[in-house]
Amino acid sequence: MSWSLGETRSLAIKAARGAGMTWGLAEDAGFAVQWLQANGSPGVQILAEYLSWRDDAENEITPAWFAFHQPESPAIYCPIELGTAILDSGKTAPNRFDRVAHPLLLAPFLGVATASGVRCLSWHSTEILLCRNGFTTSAQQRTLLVEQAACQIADSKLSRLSNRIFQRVPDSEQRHIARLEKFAARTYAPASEQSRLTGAGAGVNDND
Amino acid sequence: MPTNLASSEPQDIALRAPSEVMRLKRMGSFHQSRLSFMRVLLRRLKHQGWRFDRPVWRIDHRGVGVATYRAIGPERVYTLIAFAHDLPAEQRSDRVIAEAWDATFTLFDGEPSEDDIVRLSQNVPLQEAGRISASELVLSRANRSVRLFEYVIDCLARGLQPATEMVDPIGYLMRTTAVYGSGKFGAADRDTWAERPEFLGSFQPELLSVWLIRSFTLDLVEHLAQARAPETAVLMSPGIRRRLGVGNSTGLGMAPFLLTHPSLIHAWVNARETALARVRSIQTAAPDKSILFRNLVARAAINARNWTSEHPHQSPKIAGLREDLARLSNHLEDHPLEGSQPWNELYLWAANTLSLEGQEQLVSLMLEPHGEQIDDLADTMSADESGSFHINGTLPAGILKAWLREAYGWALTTDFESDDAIARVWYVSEEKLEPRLGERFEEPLEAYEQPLAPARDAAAMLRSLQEWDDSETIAAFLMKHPEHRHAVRRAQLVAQKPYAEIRDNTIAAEMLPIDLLRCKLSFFGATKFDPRSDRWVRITMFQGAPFPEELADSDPDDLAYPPEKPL
Repeated sequence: MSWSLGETRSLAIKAARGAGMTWGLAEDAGFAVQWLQANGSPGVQILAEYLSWRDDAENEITPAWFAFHQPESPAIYCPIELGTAILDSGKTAPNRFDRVAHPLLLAPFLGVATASGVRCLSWHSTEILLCRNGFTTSAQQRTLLVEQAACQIADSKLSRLSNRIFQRVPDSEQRHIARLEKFAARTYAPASEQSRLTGAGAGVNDND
Repeated sequence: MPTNLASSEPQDIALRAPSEVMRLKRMGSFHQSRLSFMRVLLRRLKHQGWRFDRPVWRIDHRGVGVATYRAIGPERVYTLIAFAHDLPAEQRSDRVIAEAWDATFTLFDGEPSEDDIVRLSQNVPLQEAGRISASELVLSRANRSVRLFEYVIDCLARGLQPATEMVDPIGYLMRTTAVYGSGKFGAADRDTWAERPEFLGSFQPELLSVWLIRSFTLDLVEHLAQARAPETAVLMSPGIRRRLGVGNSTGLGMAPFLLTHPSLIHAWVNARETALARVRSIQTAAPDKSILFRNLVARAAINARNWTSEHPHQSPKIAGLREDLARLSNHLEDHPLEGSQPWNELYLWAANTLSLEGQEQLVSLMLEPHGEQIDDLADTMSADESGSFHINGTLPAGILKAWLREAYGWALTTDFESDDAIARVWYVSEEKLEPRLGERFEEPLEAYEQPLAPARDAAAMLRSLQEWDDSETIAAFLMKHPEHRHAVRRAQLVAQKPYAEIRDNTIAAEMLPIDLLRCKLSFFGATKFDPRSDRWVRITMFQGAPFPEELADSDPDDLAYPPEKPL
């Protein structure tokens, strides 16, 4: 069994919303998951990891605004919020961030923000080479899925990347799909008699 | 404000303004036209010389089993796999929350092996609870018409033809209750097949499925009649067969689609409006086209006479349409299509004289004789929503404010503090994820609200934006106000694609979801729009259209309106 990229993106949007993101940022989370999966990367898993981490009341997110205006603040940034802020801001964005949660989720936004050439996103000893439509890395999955890290962005000497596009989310992701489904379920209204009778407008007899 | 309302080709008449077209009352009066997707599909299949057959028919005397219908094109083959079931009557429901159906279907990309059929037999009958794969393009199901299915079998088994008085008002033996495509439940993503020449435009695999389902429903009643009374049973006469299409029962699931696919809606409406502007701009009416048009007006009147609805919203609209068509016919007697830009003159007369239902019927009829001038627009009726996804954050706040005032000026005067303006909540129920609409002040639903109120959200965004200097960037604004991100994304898109936005409040107390449904269904090519409530509708698809075995020798466009003389 595998999943289409489209249904996976829809699920990711609902999951991100269910975990408390605004609708706009949730849409970007959906984009990020699809972009990662299309590049053969664990997009479903990293979003599930991030949403679980974010769901823990002890973990606090700092608004991305601080990364641009008070970079010395002791903060952990949401990778979706920071990624969209970098992409929105064009060339005016900083290139170092002290602490980013699940930084793999930054990659899609930096990739799309790379109008030409190749850039490098790095943390610890992990390096990801990014272009507009994809990325390559030799890093182990374990380091790609790191919970938080200081990140740097730099131009690469490479001019282009050759990357393979994946059209399905493989069966191996089933467990993480199920984790996203749990978050997504928070966006569904509980069943009630009134809702069942009047909400869809079919009334008592929808037959003919 | 950048718009693409001006066509790239020289023409005198401008496109109608979004503020005129994208109102719910007008959208809820759209009619099928030759740009509708069913019409496009049949024209294309005929033009490309597709052939059709039925390789598998393993249906028993109770109507249970599997059948396949194959469409063979110049480059590819598609196969509809139909699973027929014995459904207890008490389980028959058209709602999303149903868990069993009379028949279930999938459209296979190619020719399925026996292993494929076995795999699909374990999943397709479960619909949303099953899984299909990248080899399948569509997942669908249908229920029998309680009013007609058994009656038709009974007639045929006794050697009789069903009465047209019974057949015509219903118009179908089965109605589909969902037709899923584009990656849903594991199906192939749209990206993987959208560039195939046979599928250019919108919803082509889905409508190919429905058209083949129509054949299945006819084959099934003839098979059951034969099984019931082999000595006396007869086949249905071609004239009666043609009167039967496929029904569709549609709830709220379709309504949010128009709001969540803004680029696509722009592409659809822009094509239709461009077609209208081209016809209005024609300098003189060719005699053969005038004759055909008048013939079509008469046939549209027959169609309106056959169209019935008991719904208090639709019934008077149909009565008004009948009057409008009589008025149009009389007008053409006194004002034949002569002089300069006669189609434009006719349109302007209608805009001042007819109801919205009549005006939009006229638009569809005016397009009908002008295939050579407008049919190329069908290939423009698709869109990649991801193309306009990313926000241009370098945009100054002042520009966005100006765009908002232009595109959402109508919304900025609405008092979104009043209960009536925000009376409704779009939400998804945990019951099989059925889309629903609730009352904000009567049910605890607000926490589950879907983002389907662009007018309210744009107005809220502008309120926040007013506190920002015009020279500040949208990127800076969104860092402080991530709650407006979805509204900014939409406003940027609407600035480029003005038909993308509905110019009405979609959560107002008086909003009728059936207006949204009607708009979408008209682009599909549906007819006999018959609301069952303000948010639930039955329609007919492919009624009057040729069957696969008839396509090569018929003109599908000539069958879009009933013949002047019955078959």
